[in-house]
Amino acid sequence: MKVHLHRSNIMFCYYSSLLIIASLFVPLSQSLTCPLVLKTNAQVERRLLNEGFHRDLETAVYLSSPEDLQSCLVLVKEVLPPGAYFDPSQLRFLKPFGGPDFYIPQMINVETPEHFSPRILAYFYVLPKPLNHGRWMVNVTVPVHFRYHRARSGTSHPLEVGVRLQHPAILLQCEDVGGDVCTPLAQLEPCPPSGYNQCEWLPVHTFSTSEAVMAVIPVGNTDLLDVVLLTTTCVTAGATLLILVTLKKKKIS
Amino acid sequence: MESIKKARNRLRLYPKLIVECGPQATEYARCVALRDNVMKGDCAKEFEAFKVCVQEAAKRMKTRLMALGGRGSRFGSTETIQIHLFLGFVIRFMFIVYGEHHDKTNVLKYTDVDYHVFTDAASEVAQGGSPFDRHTYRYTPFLAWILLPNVYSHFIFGKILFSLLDCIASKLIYQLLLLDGQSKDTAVKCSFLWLYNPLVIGVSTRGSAEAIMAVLVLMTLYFMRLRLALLAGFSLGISIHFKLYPVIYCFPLYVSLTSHHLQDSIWRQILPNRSKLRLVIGTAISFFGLTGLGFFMYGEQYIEEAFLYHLSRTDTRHNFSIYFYLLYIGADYYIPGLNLATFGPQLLLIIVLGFKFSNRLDVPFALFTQTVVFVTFNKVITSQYFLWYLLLLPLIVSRLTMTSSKAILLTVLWIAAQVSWLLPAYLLEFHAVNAFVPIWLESIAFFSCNVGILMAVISSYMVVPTIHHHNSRKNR
Repeated sequence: MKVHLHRSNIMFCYYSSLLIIASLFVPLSQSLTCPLVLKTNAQVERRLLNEGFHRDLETAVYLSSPEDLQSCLVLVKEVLPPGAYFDPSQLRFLKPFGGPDFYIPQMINVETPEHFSPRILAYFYVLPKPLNHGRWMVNVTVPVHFRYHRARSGTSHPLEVGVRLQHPAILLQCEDVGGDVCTPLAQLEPCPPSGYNQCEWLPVHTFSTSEAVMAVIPVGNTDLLDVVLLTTTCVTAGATLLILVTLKKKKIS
Repeated sequence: MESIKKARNRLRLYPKLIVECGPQATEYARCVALRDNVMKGDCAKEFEAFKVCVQEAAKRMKTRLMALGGRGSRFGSTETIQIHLFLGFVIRFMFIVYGEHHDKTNVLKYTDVDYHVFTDAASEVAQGGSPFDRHTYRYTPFLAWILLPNVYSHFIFGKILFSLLDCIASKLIYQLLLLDGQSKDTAVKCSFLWLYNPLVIGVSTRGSAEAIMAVLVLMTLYFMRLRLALLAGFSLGISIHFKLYPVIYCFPLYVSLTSHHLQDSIWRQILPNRSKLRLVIGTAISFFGLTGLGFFMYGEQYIEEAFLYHLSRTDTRHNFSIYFYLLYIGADYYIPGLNLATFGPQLLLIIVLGFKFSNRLDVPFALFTQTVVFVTFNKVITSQYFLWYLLLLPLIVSRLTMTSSKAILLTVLWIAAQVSWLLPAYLLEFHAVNAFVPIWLESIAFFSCNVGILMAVISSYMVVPTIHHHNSRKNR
């Protein structure tokens, strides 16, 4: 199991580094012609509100660009680790109350523990609000849930695990700005508002002043297995005997 | 409570009445016992003689007969129960309307997530697709069919249907109690345990389909009481098709169809007779018919989602079950005999209870205790499961010789054990406090509480002399 996980991690890193290298080569030829991509910066700041397994993930993106982003739509592309998930039906209920348009390509099982769950891709579509000259802001708050984690030994580990939510990628789709010069830089991602087709999106440079947010999730203590096993089976066996004795005493005419 | 006490006092006099009419009773009992399959009117002459004798004896003792009373005494109650059924429906309708309003204005929903799943599945069906195209739809396809009006007419159709079924269930409880020889007053009051139960009202108006199960299980008992074994089998088969758990009822229901004079031999109890065969055939036809139809229409996906998923489901998240923490921390370990240790007590007790109370007049009690054991000893318990035995509680409550203060104490204990479980669960879930051990201890407390209540209920259960019930049946 562990070997398999490691290998898939390595493959993931390998493919993503290939992608990064490939995307480095493309702009070289077009370098200064698409300012929307090359001169726009996205600063991502986020917070996890509340405590426990059910929390709110607040993401603020500050965009600064020489171009006018008034006609643009922002795509916040999240990759959640296996320890966390978004609940699509909950996000759907949130829409009438100001929740964002979103697309989650996978079916999500809300019951499975972390070690049986996949990474989750989620796309949120948000309109930027102008802040001041050349700066726009995007604000999304969505509920995020955390999964049960594998129980572990309390003597060698702390009885909690951290689930780190990496910063999202930010992409733009604009009507008036960009134009043909930007087309070679575009990448295909699901279309708004609900991801039925693939559209062209322009990736922007993303940075942050803060580290990825982390949730701390309590886990069970396997050191107690003997005690729990013994107590539980004794209690259930004792209860079974007591009920049988009660039945034996009961006279049926 | 007063009327229950009165009824109980009256019941206590019954043996005396019967002793007074010894010869007539023996005559009648002999007539009934000689027939393998007693039909209405078979022993009318003997019964009439016995009835007149008992009525005269009752007059002498200045008591009133309950089941033996004239037909006229029941007409008044029909109105009372109808008023209450109507009121129960109106209350539910108000909750449904409130829920609609609440859901439009609040982020936290009143409507159960499952109800949206049902409705989505129904719209898949409406578009000519399979209900299983809706992810997480893990029920019989016919539930989606029944709820098609959710798509065609209004979203709240299903909730109204469930509320109506709740009222039908209450009416069935009432009828069953009358057949059991209870007075109209007692029957009405016992049916309140379902009709006005806040848990039941909440579950149905939030859109859980438990009311369907309630009606199917009660129909089974009702047909059993009327000795319509084939129809009882049909209802039982449908209920097993809808949710697997009533399969535990097969055994006591089957054994209960043994003729009385043969009940002392275990071999005879297992051997089939005509009414047993009817029950088995009815169950098999409806269960395999519906399941086969579902398989024919929706293929393996149906079997996988509706049956195999429930069997292989391992949800280790915290719940009321005593096994929760063991299954969570033991998930990565091979513990020999763990399945036997968790499944064994549940199975053993279900069989023993089913056998012990398999007399046809005690069958509701067998079903009740079996369900309590099934839920209490289960590996996963959610509060919806409590409805499965709360449904049968009204049928047996009038047979418990328990003081009202003890009954109240046990009820308070049951609720308190749940509430105190909620505190560590809340701290874990919403404050990330490592409260697994307290939750486990609370689950042991809740388990012990349930076992204690079950033992108290078994001890105080009153087995009514068989002969009295034949009378009440005859006089329906």
